[in-house]
Amino acid sequence: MTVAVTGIACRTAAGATPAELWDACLGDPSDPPPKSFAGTFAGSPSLTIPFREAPPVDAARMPALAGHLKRATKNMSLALATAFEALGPMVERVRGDERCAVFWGSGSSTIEPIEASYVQLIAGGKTRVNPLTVPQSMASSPASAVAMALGVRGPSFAIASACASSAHAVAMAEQMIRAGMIDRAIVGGSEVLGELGAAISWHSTGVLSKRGCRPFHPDRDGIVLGEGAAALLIERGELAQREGRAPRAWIEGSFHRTGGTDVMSPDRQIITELVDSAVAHAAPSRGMPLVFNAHATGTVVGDEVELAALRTVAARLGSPLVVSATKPVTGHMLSAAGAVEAILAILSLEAGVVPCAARVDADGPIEHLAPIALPGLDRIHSNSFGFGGMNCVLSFRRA
Amino acid sequence: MTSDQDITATLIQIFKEEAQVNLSHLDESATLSDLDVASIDMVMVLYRIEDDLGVVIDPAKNGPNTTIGELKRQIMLNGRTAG
Repeated sequence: MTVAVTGIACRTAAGATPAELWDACLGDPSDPPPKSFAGTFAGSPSLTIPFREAPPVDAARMPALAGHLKRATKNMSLALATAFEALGPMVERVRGDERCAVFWGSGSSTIEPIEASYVQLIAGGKTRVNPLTVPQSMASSPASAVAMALGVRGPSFAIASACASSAHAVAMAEQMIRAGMIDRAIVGGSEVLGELGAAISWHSTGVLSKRGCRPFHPDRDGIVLGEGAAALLIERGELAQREGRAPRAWIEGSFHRTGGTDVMSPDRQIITELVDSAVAHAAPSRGMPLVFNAHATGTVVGDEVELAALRTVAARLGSPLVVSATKPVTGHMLSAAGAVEAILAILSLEAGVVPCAARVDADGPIEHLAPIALPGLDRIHSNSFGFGGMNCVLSFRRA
Repeated sequence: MTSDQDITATLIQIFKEEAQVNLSHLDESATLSDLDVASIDMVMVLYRIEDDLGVVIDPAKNGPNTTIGELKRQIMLNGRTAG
């Protein structure tokens, strides 16, 4: 059995379509603009951080979603829009489909309505809050918004594994299709950081960059947060082809390991073993380097652990190594990052070009990222590592 | 005190904005089910009634079979009680 990706869509600060995002990734990333988060009540603090903000969904341009967007947060709107865009003409095909699933990566965006309600209570002198607070703040709210708007009748649920959430959504689809439980799934993730409290919470962790995301660079200083969403239509390959839908890429495997004792830093041994298992299953073809879309958030420790793991595996394989790190362009979209980077991995296979990339020597720093042409590139892996030791690698093959 | 006419006009406006129900006139015999009001929209309708008319309507006492007339009577009764 094969598993195919037959539809992709994304909305990010760097592009509202996969094509726009791809073009942005082939250029030099601009400096992340500052965004000020301010409270809406007198005397509230404010915070200004580098931030990649995604434009909101223009409901007027999506009449098919009008009724669903009315009660949707920005996070839910981005989920709805990308899911519909990834499906394209398949929107009608999946309505009522008991063999179609929705798996959606859910991060911390769903706390936004709760935060807004607290402000109403504490600063606004209210005794009650917006009654949509609960329906909008459920971790499953983007997943259920997508499933209900599409009218699918198969399984649907949210997946929460921090920054690996939407990678795990892709993995869930791949594995349930292989198990014969479903024929197709709409998967993805969405992330919005709209309120002061959420921004301050991130700032307080100490992992945010003060100037810009510079993965693997010796002077890197942390994460630049970003907003956005991405969706993929994943199908049983034979069925999609029989019905005339061409695969954009094949999913060769998805690999998971949980581990470590440190909530905010990945465990080198576990990451090495995880990467090793992906490469053992889907090794590069003769003459091709090992190519990874790295998680590469730009933190001092996380990038070091990831690069060490990749170097170890490449050395064991005797293969040259190319790493791609696209978060300088997109920002770190947390629960949406895995899906966005899965799309960039697929576009890399289609173009034979790896964006924001470097050829990695056995040692020495990586100081510059730029597109690398690899004609004939046929395999690429995409890493997603979540806080709390939740890790996933997706392996794609050129269609 | 809010007049009968004011309540009617406000309800028409609230149902239009929150539940996309266009009531050119208020058919007091129509149930919420007749008007095809979704549960989440009804929650917002009650929230708006509290905001716009200052009357708290108990959601537990109102369901799909509640008529517009019954809703209106609750508003008038509770409004009077509230003084």
